Amino acid sequence: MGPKRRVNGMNGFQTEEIKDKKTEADHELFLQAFEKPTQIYRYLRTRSFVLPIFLPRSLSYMKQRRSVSNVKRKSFKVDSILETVETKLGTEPLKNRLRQETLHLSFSGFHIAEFATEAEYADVEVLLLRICLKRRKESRVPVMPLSLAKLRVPVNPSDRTLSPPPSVEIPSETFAYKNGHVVRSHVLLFKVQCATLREANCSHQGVNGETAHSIGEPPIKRRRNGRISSLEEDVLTFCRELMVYDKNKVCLLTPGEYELGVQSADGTENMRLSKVWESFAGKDVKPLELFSDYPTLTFTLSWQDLVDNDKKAEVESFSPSRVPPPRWDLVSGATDFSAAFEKWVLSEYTGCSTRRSRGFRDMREHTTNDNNGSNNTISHLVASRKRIRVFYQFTHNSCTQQETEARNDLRCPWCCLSCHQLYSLLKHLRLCHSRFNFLYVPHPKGARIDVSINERYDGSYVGNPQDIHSHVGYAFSRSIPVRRTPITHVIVYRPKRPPPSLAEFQEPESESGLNRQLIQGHNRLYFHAVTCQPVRPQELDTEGRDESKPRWLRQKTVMMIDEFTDVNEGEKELMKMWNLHIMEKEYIGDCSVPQACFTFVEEHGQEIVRKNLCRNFLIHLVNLFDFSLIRPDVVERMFALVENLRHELSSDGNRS
Amino acid sequence: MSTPEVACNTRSGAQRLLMGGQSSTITAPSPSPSVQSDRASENFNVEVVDWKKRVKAEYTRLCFMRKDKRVDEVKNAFAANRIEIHASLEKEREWLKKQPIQKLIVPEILPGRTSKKCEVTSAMGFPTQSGPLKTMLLVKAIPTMYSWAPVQQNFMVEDETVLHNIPYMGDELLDQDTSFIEELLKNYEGRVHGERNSGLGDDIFMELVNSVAHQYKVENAEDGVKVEAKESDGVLDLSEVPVEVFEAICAAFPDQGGTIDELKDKYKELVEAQKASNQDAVPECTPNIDGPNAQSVPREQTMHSFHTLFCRRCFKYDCFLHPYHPTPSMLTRKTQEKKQKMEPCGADCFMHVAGTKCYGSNTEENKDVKKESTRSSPPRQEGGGRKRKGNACSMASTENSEESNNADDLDIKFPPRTCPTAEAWTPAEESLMRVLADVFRSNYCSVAKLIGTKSCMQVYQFAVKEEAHIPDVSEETIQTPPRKKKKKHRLWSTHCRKVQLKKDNSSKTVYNYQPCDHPGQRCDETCPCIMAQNFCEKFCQCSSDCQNRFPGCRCKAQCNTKLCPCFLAVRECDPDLCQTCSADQFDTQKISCKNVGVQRGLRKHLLMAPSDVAGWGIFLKEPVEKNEFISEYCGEIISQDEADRRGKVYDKYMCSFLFNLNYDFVVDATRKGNKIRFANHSINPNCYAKVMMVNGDHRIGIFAKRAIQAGEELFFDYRYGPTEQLKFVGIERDGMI
Repeated sequence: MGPKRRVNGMNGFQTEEIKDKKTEADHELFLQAFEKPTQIYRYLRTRSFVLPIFLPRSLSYMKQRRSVSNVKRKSFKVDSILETVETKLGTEPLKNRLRQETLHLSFSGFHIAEFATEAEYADVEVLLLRICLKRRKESRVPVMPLSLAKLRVPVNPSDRTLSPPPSVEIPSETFAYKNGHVVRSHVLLFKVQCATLREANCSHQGVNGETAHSIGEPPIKRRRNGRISSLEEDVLTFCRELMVYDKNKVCLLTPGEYELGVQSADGTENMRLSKVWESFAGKDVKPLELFSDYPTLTFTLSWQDLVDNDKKAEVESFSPSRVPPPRWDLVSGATDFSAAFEKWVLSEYTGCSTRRSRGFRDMREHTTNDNNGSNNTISHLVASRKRIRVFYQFTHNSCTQQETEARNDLRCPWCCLSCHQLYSLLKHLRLCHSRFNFLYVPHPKGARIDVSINERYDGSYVGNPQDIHSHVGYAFSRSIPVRRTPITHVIVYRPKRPPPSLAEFQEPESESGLNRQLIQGHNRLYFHAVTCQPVRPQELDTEGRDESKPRWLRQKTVMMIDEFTDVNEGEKELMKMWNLHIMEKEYIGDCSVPQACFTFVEEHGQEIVRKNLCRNFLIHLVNLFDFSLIRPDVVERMFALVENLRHELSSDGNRS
Repeated sequence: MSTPEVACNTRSGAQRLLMGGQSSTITAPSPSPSVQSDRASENFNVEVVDWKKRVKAEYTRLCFMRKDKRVDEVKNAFAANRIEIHASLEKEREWLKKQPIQKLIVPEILPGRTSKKCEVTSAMGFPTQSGPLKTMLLVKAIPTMYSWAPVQQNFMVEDETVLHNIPYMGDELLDQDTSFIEELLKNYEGRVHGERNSGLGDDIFMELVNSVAHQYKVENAEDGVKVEAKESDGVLDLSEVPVEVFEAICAAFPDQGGTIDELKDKYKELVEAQKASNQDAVPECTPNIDGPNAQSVPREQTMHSFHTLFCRRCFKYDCFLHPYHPTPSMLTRKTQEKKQKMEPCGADCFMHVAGTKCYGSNTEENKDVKKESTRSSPPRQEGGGRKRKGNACSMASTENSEESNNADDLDIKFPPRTCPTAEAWTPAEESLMRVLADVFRSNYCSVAKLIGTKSCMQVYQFAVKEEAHIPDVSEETIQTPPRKKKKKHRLWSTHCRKVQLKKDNSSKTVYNYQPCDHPGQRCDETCPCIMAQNFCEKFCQCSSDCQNRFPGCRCKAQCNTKLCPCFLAVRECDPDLCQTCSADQFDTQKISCKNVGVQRGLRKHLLMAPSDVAGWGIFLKEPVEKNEFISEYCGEIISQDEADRRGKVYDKYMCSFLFNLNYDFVVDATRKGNKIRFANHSINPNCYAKVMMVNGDHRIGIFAKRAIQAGEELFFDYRYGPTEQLKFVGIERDGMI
C-alpha cells in the first residue's frame, strides 16, 4: 500500500530548495506572502468537499468532467418516468428477481497492509446464510448457514495474472426457497482467515522505519529470520456479508469487480492495519476510509449460464459497483467535519483511494515518491495520457522569481481538481483563486503559469447585505404575513462567450471584467438618504414618502413670512396658510389657481373663519384677480363659500 | 430641523465666544494711555480713575450676562431639539405599528454547524465556564456624508460675502498648502463669519452707558432718586446721561470712540434710531382689516403687502425662488367676462335709482371684451370629456367658467343677511369697498354681497361719492392695440421659424429668463426677453398675443419626440399654452403628455446605497424606459460668482455638486438637494441631464439614456452638456493619475 505517498503536496513549493542563498530574506517574504492565500484556498477546498456550493462539472469550462451527456434532457418529460420504469419491469421481471444462472465468483486476492502479515495465502470460506421468516414464539430470526466452499486466496498478489484465480460456482438452485422454512433472504458470508502480526505491528505504529525495512524482503524470509516470534503472530478471521436477494426477492448482486472491505470477526474496529503512522487522533472515519483502513477481498462476480460458458466475457460488465459500506451511519453521525474531511482528503492524497476508483477514473501518477513496490498494479492501470507539463513560476515583488515547480498533470495545485485541459485549468485558476494573478506563457515542454499575489483582490463581503444586517423579514410568520426583501439570484446566465482560447490568459485580467454587475435587482442594503440608517424591508416602499414636502421648508416659509415687520398679523396668517397649501398640493399653471382656491376653502375654510380672516381672504382673492389669475366671478364664488361656512358655524355656535 | 450635533456645535461656539470675551476684557486695559486720558487725569484725577474701573467692571458684567444668555439659549434649543427628535421617532414608530407588517429577526444559522462554544478555563481551580460563541460578521463602513437638507425644488440664495467657515481638510493639507486658505480669504476680501470687531458694539455701548449712568445717578443723588432709578430700566435720553459717564467710558476704552463728544453723538444717534424704530413700527404696517383697528386707507395701501409679496410664478407669498416679484399691472387683468345681470337684485336695488341707460352701453362693451378674449385665447375647455372625478362640485364652481358664464350664477349663494345694515361706514368697510370697486366696477350688487354688511344702494352712494377713485375702463383698450386676425397661422409660422433659429444657436449660452415689463411698447429688440434669446412667457407684462411668445404645442400624443415644438425647444409643455396634450390636467393620472415630468415632480423612486464606484450612489427602485424622466437635479441656485468661490473649496474636497444652469446661475446641491445628487459620474452613463425651460424657470432634468433595470446604479456624464465646469468624482481622478 502507499503509506509513503507524499502528503506535503500542498506545501510543496514552500519547502523547495532555495536557489539563491542571497535572496533568503526575500524568499522569506515571499513565503509569508503566499502562505496565507494558500491556507485559505486549502480551507476552501476541504469545505467544498463537504459542502459543495456547485459541482465543477456543471461549469461551462469544465465540460470534459461531465461523465453523462445531457442529450436526453431535451426530450425528457416528467410524465414519462413511470412509463419507462414500467416497460423496464415488464421486459425483464424474472431476470432481475430470481436469476437462473450460476453465480460465479473468482477471487483475485486478499489485500491487507504489507507489514501486517507475512502469510502468502489466506483461507477464504464462502458461506450461504439463509435467513428465514421468523415464526411465532421464536425469539431469534432463524439463520441457516451453509458452507459452500473453502479456498486459498493469495495475499497481496503482486501480479494477478500469475496463476488462475481460485473461483467458486454457486448454482442458482442454492437460492431456492423451499427448505422447510420460508427463507426471507439469502446472504453470502465471506470468512477470511489470515495470519497477521498484530502485536508487533502495534508496537511499531507510526514509524516509517518499520515499513521501510520490510520493503523488498519477502515475508517468508523474514519469518525465517526469527525476528518475529510466533507469539506475535495471530490468525485473525475477517468477515463480511453480501446480500444476494433482499426480502423483496430482488437480486442485489450485479456482475462486476468487487472489492469487499472485511472486518475482523471479533468486531475490533480500530484495527488500523494500514497507514497508522499518519492517522489523526480524532473521531472515527468516513465510510470511504474503510477501504484504506481495513483489509479488502477482491473478486469478480458474474452470473453465468451453465449451458453457455462462452458468454462469460460478455456478461461481465465493465463498470464495477460496490456494496454499500456497512458503516454508513458514520457519515450522518459525524459532527466534527473538519477532522473528517481532513482525513478524507489525506486519503485521497495517499493513493489508497485511487484503487477504489480504478477503471473509471484517471489516476495521478506518483512515480517520484513511490518506492513501494506494492503499487505496481495501480501504475499498470493508469491510462496513458499525453503528459502536459505545467510549470508554475511564483513571482514576488514583480521581478524576483522565486520558485519554479513542474507538475505534469492538470490538477489545480490548490484544490486538486483535475481539470483535464489546460484551458480549463487556467480558467479555474483565474476564477477560483483570484487572490493570485495568473499569467499563461507558452512553453516548449508544455505550459508555464506565472503566479503572483493579486494586490487588488477585493476580499470584502459579497453576499447579500441583508444577511449581515439581519433585517430579513420572515415569510412564514405565524400571525401575520411579513414583508421580505426581494432578492434576485442568478439562476441561469448565458452570456455570449468568446470561443475558448489560451490567448486570453496571456494578458492580465482587465478591471472592467471584474466590476461587471451580473446580478440585477435590489441585492444591496439601502439607506435612508438623510439619516443614513438602513432601510428595512417593510420600509422599502414608503421610504422617502415625505421627501417632496420637507418639514424644514414648511417651517422656513412660515419663518420668512413672520420676519416681515410691515405686514400685519392677519395678512401673515393668511399668507402662511396659503403658502403651505400651495406647497402641499404643488399647483402648476395658471389654470389650476381656481382649483387651488377651491381646495383652500375646502381645507382651511373653517380655520379662516375661526381665525377671523374672512376679509383678508377676500383681499387675497382680489390679489389673485389683480395678477389676472382668476376671474371676478371666482372671487365672488369663493368668498360665498367662506361666508356660508361662517354662517353655518355661527348658527351652530348659537344653537349650542 | 436641526440635529443635536448642530446644537452641540453652537454650544461650543458659545464657549468660544465666552473665551473671546474674557480675552478681550483682559487685553482692554493694556493699551498705553493716550493723550486724552492724560488730560483727563489732570482734571478729575481720582474720581475718574474710580469710574474708569467701574466702567470696566460693568463692561465685563454685561459681557458675561450676554454669554450666559447665549448659553441658555443654546441649551434650550438643544433640549427642544431632543424633544422634537423623540417625538418624531415616536411618530415613526406609531406609524410602523399600524402597518400590516411585522419585523422578525431570524437567527442566522450556518449550515452544517449548529453552534460554536467558547470556554474560559481557569488555572486557579475554578470551574470552567462556557457559552455559545456568536460570530459577528464584519460590517462594511458606510461612506462619509456631510449633512444636507432635502428639497424638491430649487432654492435661490444670495451671495455670501463673508467666509462662513474655514474648511477643514485634514491637518496635512493645512501644513502643506497654506496658500489655499489665504487665497480663499482673498476671495472674500478677508471677511470671515463671526469675526468680532474688538471694541464696543453698538448695542453693548448703549447698555453700558445706561447702566453706568444709572449707577452714577444712584450714587450721586443718594436718597431721592434711588427708587426712580430702579424703576426706569428704559433707555435714557442724552440729556439724562451725566457727562462723567462718557468721560469714564472714554478713559476705559481709549482706542475706541475717540473724543467724548463723538461718543455723545453716537449715543444720541443710537437712541434716536431706536426711538424711531419703535415709533415707526406702528404706522409702517397697515392694520389688520379683520381687526378692530382697521383704518380707511386707499386701495393701494390695502393691497400693498399682498401685491409686493405675491410671486406670480410660484403662486406663493415671498417664494424661495424668485427674488424679484413684479407688482401686477392693472391693465392686463382678466376682465369680468360674464354678462352683467340686468335684473335688479331686489326691491331696494340701486338700479331703481340710477338710470339703466348707462348700463346698456356698459354691457355692450363687456360683450365686446368677452368676444375678443374668446378669440384670442383658444377655448380652454373642449368637450365635456374632462370632467373631474370625485369633485364635480369644484369643477362646476371653478373650472367651467366659460360654460357657466352663460348660465345663471345660481350657485353663488350667500347666506341670508341677518344683521341690519348700518348707515355709517366702518373704516374696514371703506377700505374693502375701494378694493372691490376696482374688481367689479359698477356691479354694486356683487360688491354689496361681498362686503356683507351694506346694501347695494349704500354701496352705490359711496361709489358716487368716491367716483374719482375708480379708474377709467376705457384705459384698457389704449394699452396694446389688439392685433388683427389670422393670428393662428402667423403665430404658428413665426413660432416654427423661431424654433429653427433656436436650434441654430443652440451652442450659444442660455440666459436666465426674467419677465419683461415695458408698458406701452411692443416686444422688440430692446425687450430683455428678446435680447436674452428667450421667449416671452405668461409672466411677462406684454400682451398675451405678443410676437415673442411661445405658442405651445398642439400635440395629441405624448410630446416626447421632436415633432412636438415644446420638446424641440427644450421646454416642458406649459399647462396654460398646451391644452391638446392634456398638460393642463390637474390630475396627474390623466396626463398623456410625457413632457411634464419636471413641473409635476413625477420623479422615480430612488434608493441610496454605497456606490459600486465611489462613495454613495443612487439606485432605481423600479425599471424605467429610455428617455423617461427620472428626477430633477435640485439645489440652491447661486450666481456664477458665488459658484466660483464655492467651487474652489469643493475642488479641494474633490467633491462637487455644482451644476451649471445657465449663463447667470448655477445649481449647487451641496447644502440643499435631492437624492439624485448622489448619482456618480461615468463616461459610459445610463442617464443624461437636460436643462429645460419649465414654466419660465430653467430646471435640470435627469433622464434615462437607455432602458434601466430596477436596482441599477445611476450615472450621468458630468463633462458634457451644460456642465463642463464640473469636476469629476474622486475615483476617476485617482484612476487618471
